[in-house]
Amino acid sequence: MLSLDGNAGRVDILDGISLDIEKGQTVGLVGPSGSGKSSLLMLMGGLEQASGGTIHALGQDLTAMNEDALARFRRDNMGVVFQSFHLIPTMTAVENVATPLELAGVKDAFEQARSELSDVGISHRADHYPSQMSGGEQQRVALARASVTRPKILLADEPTGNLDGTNGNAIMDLLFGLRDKHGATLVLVTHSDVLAARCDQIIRLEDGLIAQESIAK
Amino acid sequence: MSIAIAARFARRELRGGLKGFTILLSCLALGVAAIAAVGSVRTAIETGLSVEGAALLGGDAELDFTYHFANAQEKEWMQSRANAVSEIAEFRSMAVVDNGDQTERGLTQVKAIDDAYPLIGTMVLNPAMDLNAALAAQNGLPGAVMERALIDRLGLSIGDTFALGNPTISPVRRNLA
Repeated sequence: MLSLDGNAGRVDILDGISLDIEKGQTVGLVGPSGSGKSSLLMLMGGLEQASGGTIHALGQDLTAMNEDALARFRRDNMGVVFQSFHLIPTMTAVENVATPLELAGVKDAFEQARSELSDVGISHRADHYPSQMSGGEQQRVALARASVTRPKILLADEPTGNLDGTNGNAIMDLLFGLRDKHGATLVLVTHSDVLAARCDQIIRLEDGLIAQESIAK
Repeated sequence: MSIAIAARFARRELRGGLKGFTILLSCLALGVAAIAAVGSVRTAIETGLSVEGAALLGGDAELDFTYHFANAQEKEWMQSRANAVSEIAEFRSMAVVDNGDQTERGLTQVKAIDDAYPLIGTMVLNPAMDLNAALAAQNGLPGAVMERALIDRLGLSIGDTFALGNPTISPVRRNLA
């Protein structure tokens, strides 16, 4: 359960969600705006605290963790891609990608970061700042940053929402390519049924509830 | 997070923060300049009072008596200790100029002096003239020296008359500000 208490009263955003995702599976979360897709993804990533119920990931109870423990869990196990990239504007592409490795104490963080940028086809922009890159390029960097730690879980919240069709398709190919290459569990929030159809499983949310679960392929 | 990593991230953050840092430095410089300016003014005032205090006061020392003049015993005490004594009376009053159809009034601080004033220094008037001459009676009215700001506010010129309390005083003189 996820509820928001405010001056205007309590709003239930998610309620009665019961969901199991198998390791290595790709899951598409679809539904209309405001149905709770992004909120559910934030709960899965421990970026939002549930107001009721429990969330288990990789055998650990996220709802029992404090902020520091959640941050360590995300650092070691998760990669997140956002619609608006959320790159650090004062860092170059390679520094953005190296950041999670540096935080994890990896010695050759920059070598790995450059290799990852090469994998997403953006190595020629390694020393550029986000403001010097297009949206598609920034999202490639964000993808590299999310996958460079080889996370067991990849969370993507509308990763093509700010991109045109061509760039969006390229990003989705990269995202699924990285997932296939490294075998992570992927949860993808999207408005597009076409993109969701590339996942193993599709979950449709409506008004904070699971309206439909289906196998896509 | 180790200190090395924190320092590395902080250095990167500074790239984008230089503009804000400039504003911070400017504010600091402005603050320091303001404090220094206040200190300079204070020092200048203190130095001025220290060097020119006697001239500003018109004597080496001043004894204030509130709501009364010095009595005979007090005057004797002062005269027994000083080379010279000047007696001054200060009070607030209303300067009034009657223009017939319109009356101008201005609250002012009146300083009444004796022939010995000032014991130290010289009173400089504008236009230049002797203080005693400026205060000398004309046509039966005592003279006065008035600050330029009050002269302008009351619309007076040198030689005009104004009332201070009941008596009418003439002429007006202005001192050098």
